[in-house]
Amino acid sequence: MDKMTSPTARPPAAVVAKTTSLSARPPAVQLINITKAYRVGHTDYPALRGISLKIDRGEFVSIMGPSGSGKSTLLNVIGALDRPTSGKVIIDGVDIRKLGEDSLALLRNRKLGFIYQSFNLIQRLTSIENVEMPLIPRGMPEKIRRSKSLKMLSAVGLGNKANKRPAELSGGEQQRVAIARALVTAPALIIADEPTGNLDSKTTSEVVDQFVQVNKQFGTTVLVVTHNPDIAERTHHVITIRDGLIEKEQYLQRLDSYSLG
Amino acid sequence: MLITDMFKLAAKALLDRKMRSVLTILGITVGSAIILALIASSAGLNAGITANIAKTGANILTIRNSGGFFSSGSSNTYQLSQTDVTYLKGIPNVVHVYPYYSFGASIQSGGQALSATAIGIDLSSLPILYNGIAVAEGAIPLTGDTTSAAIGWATANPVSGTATGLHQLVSMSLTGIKGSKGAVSYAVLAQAILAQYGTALFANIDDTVFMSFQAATVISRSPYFTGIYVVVDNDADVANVQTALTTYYGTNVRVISPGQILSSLEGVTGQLTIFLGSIGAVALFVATIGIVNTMYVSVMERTREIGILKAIGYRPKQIMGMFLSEAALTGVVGGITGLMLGYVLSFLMGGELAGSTISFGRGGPGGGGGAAIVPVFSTGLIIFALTFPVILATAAGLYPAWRASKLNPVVALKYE
Repeated sequence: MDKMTSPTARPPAAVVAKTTSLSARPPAVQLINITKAYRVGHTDYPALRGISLKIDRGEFVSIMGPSGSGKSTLLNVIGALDRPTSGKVIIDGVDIRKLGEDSLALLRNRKLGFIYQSFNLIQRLTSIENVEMPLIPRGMPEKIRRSKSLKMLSAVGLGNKANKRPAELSGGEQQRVAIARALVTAPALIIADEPTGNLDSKTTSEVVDQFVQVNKQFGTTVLVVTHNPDIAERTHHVITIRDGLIEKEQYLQRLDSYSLG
Repeated sequence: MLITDMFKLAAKALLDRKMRSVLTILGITVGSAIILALIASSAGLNAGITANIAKTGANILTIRNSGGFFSSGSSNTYQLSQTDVTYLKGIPNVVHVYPYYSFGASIQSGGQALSATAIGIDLSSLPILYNGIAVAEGAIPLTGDTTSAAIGWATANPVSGTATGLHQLVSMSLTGIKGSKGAVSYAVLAQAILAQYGTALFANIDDTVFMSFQAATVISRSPYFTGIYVVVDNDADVANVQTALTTYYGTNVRVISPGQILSSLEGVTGQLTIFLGSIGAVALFVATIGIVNTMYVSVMERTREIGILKAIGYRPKQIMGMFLSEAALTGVVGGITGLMLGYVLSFLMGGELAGSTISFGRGGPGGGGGAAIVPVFSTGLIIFALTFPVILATAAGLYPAWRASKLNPVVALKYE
């Protein structure tokens, strides 16, 4: 940590204690009876109506379901971007309902990596600057940041495009920059919201390969929301959601029998 | 998060929208420059007045007919004469009393008429009345004869035409003589050419011909003086002497003290500064609103970016810090450019002020030539110039930055 960061930059005790002291490591994600309602005018629209699930460390999970089924809401809750109306969200052993804004931000920065359908890169920054962004709030010195980010860009095959802006890259390349940005912090959990929705089938399979490799190589838990059954087929665990409830939950393959392919 | 990173990101964001940033900064620059120029000119003016009075000496009182310092010849019934000189010499703490005559003079030099002032006074008074006055050539004539004179530097060395040398004749056409309708011609011999001196008590010594008191008596053919200088032994006793004079004369004469002139001038410059200063303050206020506006639009435009920052773990305070840094940087650049522009502006303004407030016309011992004001940029003013815009800009950025930090990441990420 850096001297110039404020005292609040230190990880909250809850986050540290739970992740370091437990011998039996908790699941990556645990949801207990989650509901989420949006209020429009005087009417409440329930988006999630009581979801309980458990995602183990190192799993590659896909969430499927029709539009409006509550997938994105679920993802926002798991990603500590949104708070549930009721229920418990436990990320890596930490009950996030008890956390304040700063602690949630820290949790996102330390443990989570987000990947979006629309890439969500900052257009005015170059690839490498985009990848560096999550390292800046950590107070990491620029030199270290640069070399880490360049390494990560090279790992996704974009070492030669470090100084290009998103507008100068193809969709697949932009998504790889976004993946590098998500991976550069070495997160415990990667959350991807229809990451291949804007990509052609060839690029889609490249991006999925990337996820598979990260999952296999670093043991990173990966959670992908997708409409694409081909992608779901390559994951361990498929959760299907409809009308804010889990409709179906399937385990396609055991973690240990999983192979790259 | 490192402070340097925060400012680097802020600089990058400002450079990304160059035109808008420049326009926002320009507002700060202009507002700040106007205020600075005013304060510096005003300080320069005060310094000039103070220096002017220091030259003449704060222990010298001028007594004039109550026609007054600001009007020319017209006078009431009371006339200053030798009786007054005798009375004044009897007042405790008064060390010298010098009656004088003052005329408007047009000097013929190299075919050109030079406007000047002719003063008839005991010439031995010059070193006492004008601190540090020096002679460039010759010596101040002390014989009291009616033709010898000491002439000011500019009178001897006109901008165009031939210079008047030592022991040469100076032909004058004198006006403003009581009881005499037209101009009176008179010639004196330049026995001394004074070194450059400048203004003292708002008389430009360089444009003055000092002749003997006797010569002036001959010219005016009147026992009544234009005025009397009273030299008090030290500054502390000036007030006492002034009280004595007021008691004795009432409103018959006007007693002018350097302190009085200083305070009345400061009153004038003070009002001017307040008036122009409020214009500057309004300009700076408008510029501040401009920052609020720019920042607000910037936050709106970058809603999605803010959502991304939140998702990747920037804390609300860090996001607020980034936007505040942008506002502060605007203030830093605006402050620096404002200081530079204000410096230039103050010299232009200094000339204007000199032209409008210092020229009193023919009122004092001589015609007052406008002296240029040298603006004063004190260390305090420079520090103020560099910090105030930053404080103002940062304050202007507070609300938009707070808005940015409070954005809901889910909503912000969906923002198109």
